[in-house]
Amino acid sequence: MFSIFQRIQQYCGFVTTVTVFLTAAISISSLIQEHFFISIPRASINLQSIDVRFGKPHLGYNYKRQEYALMRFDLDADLTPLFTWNTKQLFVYLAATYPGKPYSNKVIVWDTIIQDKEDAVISLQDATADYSIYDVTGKFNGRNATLSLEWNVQPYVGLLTWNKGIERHRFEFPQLKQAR
Amino acid sequence: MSDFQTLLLEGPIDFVGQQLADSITFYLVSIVGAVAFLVGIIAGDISLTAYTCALFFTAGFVIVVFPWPFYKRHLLKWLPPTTQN
Repeated sequence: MFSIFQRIQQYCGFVTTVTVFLTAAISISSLIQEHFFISIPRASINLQSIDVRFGKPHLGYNYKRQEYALMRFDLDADLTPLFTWNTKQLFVYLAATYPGKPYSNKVIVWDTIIQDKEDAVISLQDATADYSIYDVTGKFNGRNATLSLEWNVQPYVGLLTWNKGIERHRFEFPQLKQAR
Repeated sequence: MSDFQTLLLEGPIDFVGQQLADSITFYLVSIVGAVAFLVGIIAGDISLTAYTCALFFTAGFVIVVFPWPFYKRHLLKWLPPTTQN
């Protein structure tokens, strides 16, 4: 500590060490709070209508004409329990899962970002999905699918955690109505 | 080197002052870190933790790094130069 540069180095090095311990303590404490002290948020999904059409699912070059599905749904969810002191924002999304060969498919049809605890109550009536679903084979063939609400808690410091909502809604892709 | 250059580039302080600077570093930074964590977790607001840390760490930098007079209270007494035969 005999010169200015020595003192700068010592001081800043110790501040860095303490900051590392502090962020570790914050992230561990919020993980413990999420696991043991927080009740699971409640949600309900209702699929109002699903419409399978034939055509280009997006505007743009190089999309082939294929079957694609548009959905309208109701969603009620109260995600306020997920906000701890370390929560920066929640990424909430509705995902549709359906089988396929060789792997099952999972498509996000709607998402939102929630940054405040006050905005964490979702109440949507007859909302349209942001994104349409189209399969790699180009056809749905009336497969069964499940719609579930999932969320990703993004903290200020620490690990990202993903969680499935407990509300699921099973449905079938309806067959294409008109001939191609 | 002039005295001003020495002051600016080296900032020398005596040994007791160095020990004091070391103690201030250790206690100020670790206690502020612990207290900021407790304040944040009790109030439920992480920005309290961040801002108290920023404020006190900057104040600590100013206190520790610069060669203040209270670090120079116990200057070494050099013997007078001996005459060469």
